[in-house]
Amino acid sequence: MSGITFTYKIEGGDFVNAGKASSEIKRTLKQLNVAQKTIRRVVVSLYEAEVNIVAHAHRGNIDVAINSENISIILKDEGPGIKDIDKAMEVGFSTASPSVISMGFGAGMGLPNMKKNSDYLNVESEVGVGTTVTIKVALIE
Amino acid sequence: MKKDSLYHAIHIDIEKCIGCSHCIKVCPTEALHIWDGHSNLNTERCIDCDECYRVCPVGAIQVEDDGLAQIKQFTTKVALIPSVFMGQFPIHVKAREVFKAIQELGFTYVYEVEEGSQLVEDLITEKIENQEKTPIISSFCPAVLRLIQVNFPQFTDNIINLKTPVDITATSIRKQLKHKENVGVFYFTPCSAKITSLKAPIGEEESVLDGVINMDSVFNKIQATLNNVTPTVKKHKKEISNNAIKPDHILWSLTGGEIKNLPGTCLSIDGIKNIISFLDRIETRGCHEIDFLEMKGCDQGCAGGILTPQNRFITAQRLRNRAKYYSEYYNENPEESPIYHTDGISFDEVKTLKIKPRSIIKFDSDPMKALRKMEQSQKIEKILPSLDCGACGFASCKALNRNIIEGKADLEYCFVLQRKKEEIGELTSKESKGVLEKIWGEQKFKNNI
Ligand SMILES: Nc1ncnc2c1ncn2[C@@H]1O[C@H](COP(=O)(O)OP(=O)(O)O)[C@@H](O)[C@H]1O
Ligand code: SF4
Ligand code: SF4
Ligand SMILES: [Mg+2]
Repeated sequence: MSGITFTYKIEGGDFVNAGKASSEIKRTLKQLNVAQKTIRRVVVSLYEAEVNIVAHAHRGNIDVAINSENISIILKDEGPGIKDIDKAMEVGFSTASPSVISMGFGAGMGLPNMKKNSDYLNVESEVGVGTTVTIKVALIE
Repeated sequence: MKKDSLYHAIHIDIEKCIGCSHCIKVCPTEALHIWDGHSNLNTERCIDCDECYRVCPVGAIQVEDDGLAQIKQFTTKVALIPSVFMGQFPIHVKAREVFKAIQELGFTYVYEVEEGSQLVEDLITEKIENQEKTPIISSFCPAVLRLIQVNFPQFTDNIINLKTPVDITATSIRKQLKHKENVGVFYFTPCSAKITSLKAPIGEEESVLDGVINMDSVFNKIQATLNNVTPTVKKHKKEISNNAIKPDHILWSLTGGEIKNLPGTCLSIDGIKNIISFLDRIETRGCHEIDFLEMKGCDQGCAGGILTPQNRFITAQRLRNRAKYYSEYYNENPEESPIYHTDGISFDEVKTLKIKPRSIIKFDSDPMKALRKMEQSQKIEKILPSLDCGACGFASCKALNRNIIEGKADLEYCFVLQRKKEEIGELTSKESKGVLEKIWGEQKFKNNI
C-alpha cells in the first residue's frame, strides 16, 4: 500500500530536542487532515515514547510509516532495556533518576498513557541491549 | 457591516511596492508571495498580525482608513478610547484634556474601553474557578484568534466564549445612551486586526461597533489641540478619567494586563512568533499546569500596535505611571472609587459564538487525496535545494513546495532548478529569464550590466 515514511534519530539525555519528532509528525497529520482527537492520541503516545528514549536509553531511531488507514511507529533504542515489562507498564512505576525527575519527567505515566492512547502497543526489550516499542493508531474510524 | 470572511484591513499598494520581498520573509502564515514584480496577499492565509507592515521599506502595505468623515452619519457620536491611546501622551497630559480634544474632533461623548475589563475579569475568574477546559485562552487579540483558527485548530475549543472589553463597553454605552438619537460608537484602533474584526467578525454575527478610527490618523490633530490648551493643575476627579475603570485595567492591553488579578496559574505571551512556538509546544506536550493563557500578537501588547504613533516601551511605561497615579488618587479619595457601568450586564449579553477551525495546513479535506499530495510533496522536497533564498517569490523552499502541490506554482520557479534544467537542455536561458521576469517583473531585468 502506498504511503509515506519518516525517520528520526534520538540521542539519550538530549532533553533540548525531545519532542521534535512528535512535533513534526503532528504537523504531518494536520496536513493529512486527520481528526484532531486522533492526532492528539498519536502525539501523546509518540511523545511519551520519544521522551523514554531520551530519559532512559543511550540512543535510538524512530521509524514512522503513514498510509491511508493507519500510522505505525517503531522506536528502537540501544540502552539498558527493561527488566520487567509488566511492572514498567504499571501506572506510577518509574526508575527515573532524580535529575530526570527535576526536569518534570518520570511520573511513571508514559507507558500507561501510550497504552491508553494507541490501538496497538508492543514493548520488547533485552536487558543490557535495548528496547523496541511499536505503536499503531488507526487514522480513520 | 459587510460580512466577507476573507476581508482584511491591510492591502498592498502595487504602485508603491518595489518587490523587495521583505514582507514575504516575515509572514508567519506564508500568506504573501511575489508575482508580477510585487507582493500578493493570500486572503485565506492572512491573520492580520501586521508583521509585513512593520518591515516594508516603502510604505506599500496600507491599512484601510475610514477617516473621521464616517461619524457624520450619526447624531450621537461616541468615541471609545483604549488606554493605550492615553499612553501616546506624557503623564502630565490629563485624560480629561485628551477627551476634550477628541470631542473637538466632533465626538459627543468619550468613553474608555477598559470600563468593560472588570466584567471580563469577573467572568474569566468564574471560568477558572469552575475548572473549565484548560488552558482557557483569552479572546482579546483578533490576530491570535485567527492564528489559532488556521494553524492550531485543536485550540479553538479553548478560546473563551467571551467578548472583549471594547465590545462589552460598547454594549454598555448603548444601554446608557438608549434614549439618545442615532448613536454611533467608534473605537480608536491600534492595529489592523481590530479593523478586520469589526468588518469581518469571527465570534459574533455583527459587530456592536459602528466603525473604527485609526489612531495614527487622529493623533496629530489631537496633539495640535493639546498644544493650544494651557494645562490645568487643579486636582479634580474629572481630570483623571471618566471614573469608571480600575487603575490595574489601564494596563489591560499590555502584556500581562489581563492576568494581573486572576486566580490560578496564568501566563502571558506576546509576539506572534513566540505565540506560534508556544502553541506548537503545548500542542505536542500537553499543558496541564496553566489555567489561563493571555496572548497578544504584538510585542508589548497593543502598545506595539502598528497604528500607535509612539514607541511601544515608552507607551507601556507611561501607562504604568498612569495606573500608579490613578491608584494613589483613589487611595486618597476612596469616596471617588470607580463606578462600573457594566454591572447590570449578563453573561448572555457578552458571550460570543464558538470560533470554528479553518485549517490552512491541510493538503486536502479528503485524507486519501491529502496523502497523495504529501507523497508528491516529499518527492519535491528531495528535488528542491533547501536554500530558502526566496528567488522563486516564496518565503522558503517549503512554501514553494506547497504552492506547487496546490497547483499555484511550478518547479521552474526555483532558480537553482532552472540552472539544472538549462544544463540538461530542458530549459533555455531565455525561458529561465522569462520565468524570473514573471515573478519579479520585467523592470528588474532592464538595467545593463
Ligand atoms: N526505552 C526505555 N529504555 C529503558 N527503560 C525504559 C524505557 N522506557 C521505559 N523504561 C522503563 O519503564 C519505566 C516506566 O516508564 P514510563 O511509564 O514511561 O514512566 P517514566 O518514564 O516516567 O519513568 C521507566 O522508569 C523505565 O524504568
Ligand atoms: S516589503 Fe513587501 S510590500 Fe513592501 S515593498 Fe517589499 S515586497 Fe513590496
Ligand atoms: S532555493 Fe529555489 S525553491 Fe528554495 S527558496 Fe530559493 S528559489 Fe525558492
Ligand atoms: Mg516516560
